[in-house]
Amino acid sequence: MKKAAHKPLPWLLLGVTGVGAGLLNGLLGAAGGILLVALLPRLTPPAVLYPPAVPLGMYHERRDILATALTVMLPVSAVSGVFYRVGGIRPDPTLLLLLVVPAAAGGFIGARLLGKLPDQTLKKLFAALVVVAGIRMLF
Amino acid sequence: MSPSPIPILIAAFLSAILSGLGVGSAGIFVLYLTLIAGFPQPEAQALNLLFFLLSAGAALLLHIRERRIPLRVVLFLAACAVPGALIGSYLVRVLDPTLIRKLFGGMLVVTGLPVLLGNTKTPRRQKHHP
Repeated sequence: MKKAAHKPLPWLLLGVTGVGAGLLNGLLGAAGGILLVALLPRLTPPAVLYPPAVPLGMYHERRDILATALTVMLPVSAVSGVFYRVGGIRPDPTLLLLLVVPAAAGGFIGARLLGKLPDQTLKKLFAALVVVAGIRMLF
Repeated sequence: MSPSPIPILIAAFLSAILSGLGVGSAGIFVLYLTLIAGFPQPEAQALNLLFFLLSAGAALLLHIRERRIPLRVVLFLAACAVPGALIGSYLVRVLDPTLIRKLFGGMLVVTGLPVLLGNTKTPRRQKHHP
């Protein structure tokens, strides 16, 4: 069993990352979580981020990071959503209501499937789609 | 004038599955709304924020029981992220939607390319050995 490193968390870097994630979330309505998932493991080794006395080999760290990012971005998205609304960006309320069931059901099913599907393949496919679409939006 | 909501709901369902899987569906619902359904970029982003609240909230119901979530770090990050979100939400109102659309496209390319080229170094050092 590896002993958890007794190292302080890099609060300043975490703070800057938090501000950046919030800025992306507010400006683009997305992507704050991506920033956290990309940076958290680099800023804080899992032994520092997750100090409880549980053997490190018992975890799947990527999923812990994902859950952490989701937990951070949930209230932040709510704040961004409120400020969009205050600023006059108001989507159709009927559509908002209709979205509740498919979004919640899909999220739940996806979380259930986490680790049961070849996520690397999915990631590559998704990345290809996203890059093509991104280029289309750029030009 | 408004398109049938059925394709949008199907897209939301599929995007939410990807979101729960952590594949990174941040942009896909916005992409559908803007490129296919023809929504303006700011409105699509607003819809995506609500969509994220619902899909991530549902996924979190599972994660919260099964995953380690460092509460102290989460609270700190969220506290720092809120001012950033306020600035971002303000910028959406004052910037040209075309520029925001380009920024969104740039974000997709920047986040998608490393995954596509295989340079993602997700920390998967440990295998699960029950």
